[in-house]
This record gives sequence, C-alpha cells and structure tokens, in this order.
Amino acid sequence: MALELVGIRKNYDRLEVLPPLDLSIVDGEFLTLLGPSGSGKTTVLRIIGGFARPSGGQLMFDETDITDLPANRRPFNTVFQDYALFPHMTVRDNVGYGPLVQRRDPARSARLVSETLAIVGLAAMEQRYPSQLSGGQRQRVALARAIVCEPKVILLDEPLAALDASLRRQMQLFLKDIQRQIKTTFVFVTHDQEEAITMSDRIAVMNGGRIEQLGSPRDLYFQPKTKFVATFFGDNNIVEGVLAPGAGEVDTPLGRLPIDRRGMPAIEGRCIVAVRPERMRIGGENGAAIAGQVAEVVFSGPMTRILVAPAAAPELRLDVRLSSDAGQPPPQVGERVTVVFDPSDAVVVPG
Amino acid sequence: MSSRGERIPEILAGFLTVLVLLVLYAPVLVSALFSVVTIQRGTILWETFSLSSYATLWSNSSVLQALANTAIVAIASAAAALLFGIALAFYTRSENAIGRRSIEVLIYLPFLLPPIVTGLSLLVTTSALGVGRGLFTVIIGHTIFVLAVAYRLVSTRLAALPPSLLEASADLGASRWQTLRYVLLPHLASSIVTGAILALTLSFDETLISTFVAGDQMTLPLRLWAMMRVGFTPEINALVTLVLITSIALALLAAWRLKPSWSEADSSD
Amino acid sequence: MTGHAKRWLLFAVVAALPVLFILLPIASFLITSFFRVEGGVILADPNLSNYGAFFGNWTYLGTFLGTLWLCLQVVLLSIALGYPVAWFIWRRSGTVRYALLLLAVMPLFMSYIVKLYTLRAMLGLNGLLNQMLVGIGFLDGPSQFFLFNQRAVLITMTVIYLPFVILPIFLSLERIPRGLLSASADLGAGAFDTFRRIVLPLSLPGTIAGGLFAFVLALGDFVTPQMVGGTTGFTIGRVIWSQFGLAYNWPFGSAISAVLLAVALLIIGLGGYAASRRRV
Repeated sequence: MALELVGIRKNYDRLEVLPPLDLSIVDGEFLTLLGPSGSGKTTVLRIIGGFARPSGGQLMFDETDITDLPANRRPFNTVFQDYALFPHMTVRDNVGYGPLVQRRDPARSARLVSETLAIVGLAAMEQRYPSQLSGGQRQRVALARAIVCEPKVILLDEPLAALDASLRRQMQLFLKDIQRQIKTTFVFVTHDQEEAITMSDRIAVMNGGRIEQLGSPRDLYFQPKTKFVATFFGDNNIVEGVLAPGAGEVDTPLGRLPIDRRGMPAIEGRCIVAVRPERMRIGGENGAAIAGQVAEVVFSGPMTRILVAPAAAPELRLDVRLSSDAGQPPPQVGERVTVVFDPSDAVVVPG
Repeated sequence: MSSRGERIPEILAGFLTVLVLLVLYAPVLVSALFSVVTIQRGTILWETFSLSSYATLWSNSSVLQALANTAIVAIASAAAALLFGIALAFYTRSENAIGRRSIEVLIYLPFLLPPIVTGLSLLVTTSALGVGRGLFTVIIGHTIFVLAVAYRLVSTRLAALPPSLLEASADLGASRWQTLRYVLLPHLASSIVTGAILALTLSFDETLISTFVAGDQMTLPLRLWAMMRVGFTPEINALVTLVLITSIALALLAAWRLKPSWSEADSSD
Repeated sequence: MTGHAKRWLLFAVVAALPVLFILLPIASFLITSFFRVEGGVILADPNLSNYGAFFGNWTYLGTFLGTLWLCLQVVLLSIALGYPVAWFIWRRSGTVRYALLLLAVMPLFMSYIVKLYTLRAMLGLNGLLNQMLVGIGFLDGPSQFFLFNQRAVLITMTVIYLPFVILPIFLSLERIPRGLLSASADLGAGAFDTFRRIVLPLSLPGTIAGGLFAFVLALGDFVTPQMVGGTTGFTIGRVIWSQFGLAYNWPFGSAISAVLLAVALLIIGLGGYAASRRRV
C-alpha cells in the first residue's frame, strides 16, 4: 500500500469542507478523484501535496507518517492547473529546477533533464520561454518538470482543463502513455467524467467532501451504488420508484418495472432505477416494456438519439441510443413505439 | 503555509518595517506635538499645552493668501488635467490613431523627468514669450505635471471597456453623444474622481516646479519654505500639522477609492 | 478631404497641446543652453561655451559626479531598506497587509517641504535624534554629525524617497502568482531557494523601477541639499538653481540642466531596458 489517507479531514474555521476520509492509493496506479466543483477533490490533492494542512487525521506513505512533512520534503510532485511555469526561466531551466534545488549531481541531472524533455517531445524547444509556447506545450513542460525528479507520486490538478477539446483528448492518451512508461502512481483530479473513464485504473467519485464510490471505470459505469454516481457518471435513464421487500418489481410512474435482484444489495422502500441509454431498444421481445411516443430524433454521428415520451408519464423522456447504421431507418417523431430493456441491465440504488 | 526557514527573516523584516514606519511618521507626530506644547531639554512641558498657535495662524493674512492660492491652483490644474487627460485618452484609445506612442511619451515626460527640468523649461519659455509669471503659470506647470496621472487613470479605464459595449450602444440606435453620455462617462466616472483626488493631492504639495514659475505669488509650500528660513515657531508647526492632516486625508480618500483593485489579490488562496 | 488627411489633421489638433506645453519648453531651454549672458542680458548667439565651461571646470564636473554618487547611494540605501519592508508587507494577509501598505505609501502624499522641515528639526543639534542618542548614553553630548553636510542630504533624501521604492517593489511582488511559490516548494526548494530563484528575479523589474524613481528624483532635487546640506552638501541641483537665482546665468543653468536631462533619460532608458529584458 503506497499512500494512505486515514481519517483526513479539513475545516476552514467552522466550515467543514472535508469530513473524515479514508483512501488507499496503490503503488503504480492511475487514480482519479472525480467530482463537481466544491466536492473536496482539490482539497484532498492539496493535502497530499502538502499545500494544505489537514485539520485532523493522518497521511501515511510507505508506513511512515508524513502528515507534518512540508511540501518541499515530500517525494511527490504536482502538475498544477495553470501549469505554474516559472516565466523567467527557459523550458530547460524549468525542468531542471527540481534537481537544482534538491542539490542533485549536476552532470547526472543535465542528462536526466534532456531525457525527460525527449520523453515529452520538447527537446527542440528547451531554450524557449514559457510565454513562447502553446497551451499543449506548456502542459508538457509542467509534466516534464514534475516527473524529472522521479517522484513516488505525481499529483495532477485538472491539468487539461485549459485545453481545447481535441488537444485534450490527445493529451489524455499522452498522459496515460507516460504513466505506463515511468510506472509511477498518478493521482488525477478532474470534474470531467469522460476524461476519468479514459485514463483511470480506479476512480473515486466525490460529492460534498465524501467519496461516494471507489472502483474501476467499468464498475462505476455499470454498477453505480448511489443516486449521485448514477446521475453524475455518464448519461442515464433515471426514474424514482418504491421497492417492496423481496419483490422483483419496482413501482414507478412508468408502471411496474421488473428488475434482477441478483448481486444487488438488499434495498427496500424508496429507490432509483437507472438504465443506460445504449441498453435500451425500440421494440422487440423479452424484458421490461414501456409504451410511448417518439418526441425527438437527434442524429449525432455514430449514434442516433431517440427521446421517447412514455404514455404513463408524458412529461418524462426516455433516452434511447441506436446505432446509426443499424440497417433500418430510425422511428419518426410522433410514432408510437415500445421501449424495451433487459431487467438485468437495470440498476437499483437507494433513493 | 510558511515554513520554518522563513520565520527569522520575517521577524527581522518586521522589525525593520516598524522602524522604517516610525521614521516616516516621526515628522508628523513630532510637529503635531511641537505645535501644541513647548519642549525644553528633551522634556515635554505639558502645562504649556495650548492651541493658540492655531489661532494666530488663522489671523496670519500671508498664510491665508497662500492657502487660497494653493486651492485655486490645485482645483484649476486638476480640472484642466482631467479635461485634457480625457480628451487625449479618447484619442489614443481610438482606432487607427496616428502617433499614439509619441503622444504618450510626451504626456509621461514631465512626470518622469526631474521636476527641476520641467520648472526651468517653463521659466525659460514664459520669459522668452514675455508671459508674466504668477498663478497662471503655476497652474500650467501643475497641469502638465498631474496630466500624466489623470491620463493614465482614464486611459487604463477606457482600455478596460469592451468595444462591443460601444457597438451595442450604436446598434441600439444611440447617437455618438448619447453613447458618450450614457455609456462612456458613467464607465469613466470612478477613474475621473480618483484622478481628481490624486491630482489635487499632488498639486497641493508641489514645490519644485512652483518655485520656478510662481513669480511673486506664494503657494502654501512656498510660504512654508520662506517661513522655515526664519526659524522654528509653534506657528509653523501648527501650519505644518494642518498641511499634513490635509495631505493624509486626501491620500486616504484616494486609497479608499483605489482599494478594490488592490485587494483583489488578497482573495487568492 | 481624404480619410488619411483627416486623420493627420486630428493628430495635429490633439498633439498641439503636449507639443506646446511640454515639448516646446524643453526645446526652448535646450536652445537657451547655447546662448550666453553679457551684462545681465541673454544674447541669442549660438555657441558651446556653456558646455565648455561645465566640462572644463572641475568644480562643476566634480559636483555633478558627486551628485551622481550621492543619488546612487540614495538608491542603494532605499532598496536595502525598502525591499525587506515591501517583502514583509507582501507576506502579510488581509487587513494587516492593506493597512501596512497604506502606511508605507501615504508619505508619498505628505508635503515634501514639511517633511524636510521636520527632518531638519530632528537631525539638528537639539533635534530628536541627538536627544535620543544622548538619552541612551550613545553620545556624550549632541553632535553636528547629522546636519548640514552630505550625510544629512543622504539621510533626508532616503527618508523622503523611500516610499517611491517600496510601492513598486510591493506591486511587483504582488504580481507573482502564488502558484509559482507552491510549485517551487513542490519541486523541493526550501524558503531560501524559492526566494533567491523565484521571488527575487521576478520582483527585479519593480525594484529597478523603484530605484529609477528615487534616482531621478534625487538627481534634480535642489531644495533638500539647500535645507539640510550646509556648505558641504552641494549638489548639481543647487548649482542649477543658483544660476537661475543670484548668479543670473540662465544659459549656463540650462546647459547644466541639459546634461542632467541627458543623464536622466539615459538612466530611465537603461532601467526600462533592464526591466523589459526579464520576461515577465
């Protein structure tokens, strides 16, 4: 177990921003703290980095208590959201800053800096100043600067937020690739669930200072355990209902929907039923069926999105995704259809 | 978070800061004290406390005349500097203005150069043109001196105005004058007021340019300078205290107006 | 009229004011510096005799070089005192910070002549400084050490121009993003390394600007040396002033001022260049 947060909490005056929190980060993993702004994810990262002092709890690294260790003596490095590159230093000097102030052997450091610049593809730009670089290049300098000291953990605070969409996707793959190359633990903070799914080994979904759920991207996507995770994580068809003890059906505004209780925690009373749009079909046999009328058809490249107003509750919309090249034309607006899903694809969480 | 390594330098710097502030403010405190009590051999004679020196000041006609002159000069030069500053800022901020850079250099020049240069160049010019020296020439000197401040404040504020606002106003059917009246001037109001306060403060204290171009007229600093040559009297101390209080009040007013832009940085972290 | 001609006309109208009131006076005193005085009358007879008299006479040239040295001392002393003060204020937060900044900057607006007057009173034989030093037993009796000499000019100018140095240094410290300090600590730098390699270089433009202000203001100051300098505290500003007063030799005074102006422009140019070379 590499890095462990034990009952870490944070108050600003009377305001509790982080209730006691436990988190174990495994050596070499890519862990993402995912949550909306104000969920406490950045606070956790700042506490790990040593930029904020926890109000209580312990931070353990390799069985040593490092709670009181100042930032400059922790074997962690950070890629800051705004990169925080030193404007008066060249790319090379920025990357060489860590080895310099840590009084490492100059000849060895020079070699290391060159190698690191080559890894991030900036060898040709080492004499430039940050103001002469593009956003993506600055991002790479920030990354190079963080990895050159061979830290045990690299902390990334929404490092891609300032980039445009296509560059962001490119950098996601690049980051993941670098992480595989240097085999270092990455703790990544983001509010973008798509980014989290693409890059992470594990994701901790945070809300109101608490970790709602911790697991692999697959687990979180298909097996959300709370309403928050079900709604925050990807698109979902959500409907409230009531579940009788031991029953195989949920009472919802759409009627009685069958569910598959196997592998599901014992839930009863008020609950939420969630079904992924791509797990719903138009027409067909076998499964739960909901009658409705097509309200809108949206073509979005590979998928076509069909919004259906259920007959039982016309103010709701069911989101169905069909492959655009399915062979048959999509239904027309106004057409009466039946939406069908497999009960085992329905996730039930407490409401 | 401050680390251990910074504590000792911080204590030393704090000590130095207190010392420096004491030295900077000693003049105010000492002259205020001297104006109301007598000090003999290092001891303050509290029983001599009296405000009479302030009263005599009030009947000193040459001081009152200097005060009136200073007020006239300050108000006239502040108004002129703002008027020209606004006009020049409108020009330099307008699209495809010719010679923007050289005009700005000229405006800032009297503020950057030693005042002695501004003073004597005005003296030489007015003399060559046969213009008599007096309050009018002092007003000219102060105007070109404070113009840099007025221009700077207004043009910075003008630059912060998104051009789309003017376009929106025109788009909504406003005439040029209506745009000026309802969009530009309200936007500039705060910088105009701040510029006026700063200009008044600077003009109130200006000495070096004034001595060259005042002729036989006296402004308050010049009157004080003349009185200082004679010697120290409680009367001078009273006047000094009043001048300082006025300056501080004006400076506080300016600081209070400038505060929002300074304290923004405090919100970080 | 074409649009082009219109723009030039507008430029001519707008530029008239600064040209008339700023450029023209400077030009006219520069021209005067080539004239000469005979029998109390200024003769428009262009020649270089004033400059010859200035550079050929060690009394004037020496005073000028002495003044430059004095101004340099004022700058160094102001930065040595002002930098730690600005740094300390910058390290505070909230109300304390704003109040300290206000206290440090407000003397900028306090009457120059009044500060001179009170400083002279404090430095004098019966002044506060002597009384304090005698009081704590540092001196046996009051000393003339602090007034009517070059030292008094240095002390007084430093006190008067110190706020001009503190403000720009503080503002340049203020412009350093806090994130850079976190990044420096994150990469393993201690407080000293962060100061030396990040804070100091990034606050250098402000420090240079502050030094420039102090230098140029001290260079042209003729009242301070006159009030506290006595007979040894002679500066070039005093020489110029006397040429426009008792000596009544405006052309010669103008010539010395022209040299002063050239030096001031050179210093401003050099400082501006040095400040802009740092990529901030």
